[in-house]
Amino acid sequence: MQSLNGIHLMEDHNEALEVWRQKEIRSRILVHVDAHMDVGSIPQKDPYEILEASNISEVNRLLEEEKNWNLTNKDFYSLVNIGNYIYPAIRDGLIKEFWWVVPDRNFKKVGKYLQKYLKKMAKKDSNYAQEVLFSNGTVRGRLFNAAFNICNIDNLPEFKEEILLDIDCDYFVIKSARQRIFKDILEKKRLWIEPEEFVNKLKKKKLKTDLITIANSVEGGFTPIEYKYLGYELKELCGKLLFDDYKPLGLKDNAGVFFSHSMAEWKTGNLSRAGDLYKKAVQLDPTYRSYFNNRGFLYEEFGLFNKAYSEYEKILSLDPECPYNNVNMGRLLIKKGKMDEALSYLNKGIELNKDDFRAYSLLGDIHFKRKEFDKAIVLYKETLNLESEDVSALKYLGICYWKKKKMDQARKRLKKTVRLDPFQLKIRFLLIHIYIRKNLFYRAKREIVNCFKILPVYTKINFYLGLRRIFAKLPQRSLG
Amino acid sequence: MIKLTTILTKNEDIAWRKIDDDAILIDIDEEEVTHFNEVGAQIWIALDGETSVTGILEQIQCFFDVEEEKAKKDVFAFLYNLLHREMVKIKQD
Repeated sequence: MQSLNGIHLMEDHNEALEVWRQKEIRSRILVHVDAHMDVGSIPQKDPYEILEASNISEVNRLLEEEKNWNLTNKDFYSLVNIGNYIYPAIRDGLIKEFWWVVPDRNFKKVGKYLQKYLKKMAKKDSNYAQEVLFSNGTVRGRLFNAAFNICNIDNLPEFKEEILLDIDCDYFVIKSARQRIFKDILEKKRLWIEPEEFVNKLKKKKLKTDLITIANSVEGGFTPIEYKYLGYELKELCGKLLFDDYKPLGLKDNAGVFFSHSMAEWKTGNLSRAGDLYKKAVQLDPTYRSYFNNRGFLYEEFGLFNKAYSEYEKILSLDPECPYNNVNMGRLLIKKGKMDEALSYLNKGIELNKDDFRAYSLLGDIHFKRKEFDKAIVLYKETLNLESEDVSALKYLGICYWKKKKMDQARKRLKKTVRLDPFQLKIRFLLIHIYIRKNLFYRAKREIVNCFKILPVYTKINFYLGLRRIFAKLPQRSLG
Repeated sequence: MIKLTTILTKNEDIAWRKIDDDAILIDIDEEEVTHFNEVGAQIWIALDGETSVTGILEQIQCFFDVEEEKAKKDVFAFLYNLLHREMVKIKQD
């Protein structure tokens, strides 16, 4: 068999950056085939540089010109994730020319949208060029010193040199770079392009590559798990791009095939066969035991709780000892208000995997809803010991402290919550309330201004009404 | 309540430097850059955890041509502002 050393299959797409670094890639063309751009801006300017200024006019110039300050107390590379891993690759000179191949067959509308989007990015981060052109089916801009292009597969040009090929499986299941992912997956369950057709298109363009990175992107809900086999299939098919005479082995013993067959058998009512096939899938690839191994979470996202329930019930009957399935069911039952049932699923989830931070957080939610704040605090703390940036646990831990009138502890957690998720309006209200209670009017004012900066107009009206409610509850002395 | 005998100390989480005659302060936690003019900078420097408010007032009157009452009023207002912003803490009442 030909070696496929040049092809790397991964779950999370940001692992591609590690592959390029290990291979010491420099100044290459990157063709990024994905439903998402993955070139989100990373704040990189160290604010302490302001203190290095030689005079006050330099301080003022820095503050006016630069908007990309890193105020996170984390270093640049620790901020890399699936949505921005190409940004450092371009910044550090690994990539000299970037081509994002979007899934849209009709590029006219999406092209205009993406042209506007890139211009918006330039306003927030000066490393994106202000000038963004859209002509001949391609959006053209710049990022750092690299050319930045967006087109669909049909408009991708022929390249004279070998390129880096970077594929995300969600490209095959999401039809447009504009559409909301969950809605798209729920409505369009079928592939819009077959991997073979796609690879043949690349072949026709005489695309030559020596390094291919492929991401499944199942965890997190981007690619439905029944399409997880795409990663494996693409790995096989892409061999054609590396070797002219390459013959794919096919999907004979792939876990994805067993998993898909299992789901099909379930639909026809053959439960015992479905169970056998599922077990075989998990045996071949344990990652098929996952939070995302059914459509329940998508239905849950859209508030379709009954449909979600039957999905979770189905996967639980196939694999009752899977901790993730138990935790999913527990979360749904909390939303349905069935706390006692939820409790037993979540406890079983923890019994099966004592390191599952989600389960502790959800148990905390049950106690929170029952107003047992001390118990909830213990569980949220346990969650944060396992995952220090779990926004939900931080948020509710802060609210527990707020309810118990421990304002300093509440403030610390709530501030971290809004730092991790700036759009938490209710939490910002609580922070304003805490600041006013503590007579920290300056901080309260700043928080109000922050809210207005980030909120759309209709929310600003709610915000104003919320503020009125807060002020109405305050004693007169605090209003001074 | 700040009194003449009160001793204040800077919030240690704030990084700062004197640039020209002014002071630039950076509070990463609050995502805030603050610029003090030369009078503000002088007060900020004097907040060393040893000098009382009386000592600060003396320094201000020594460096700048200002009447005692006006200096007292402005310094107190400035210190209260710093306290409300949690940029300083009371070390000794």
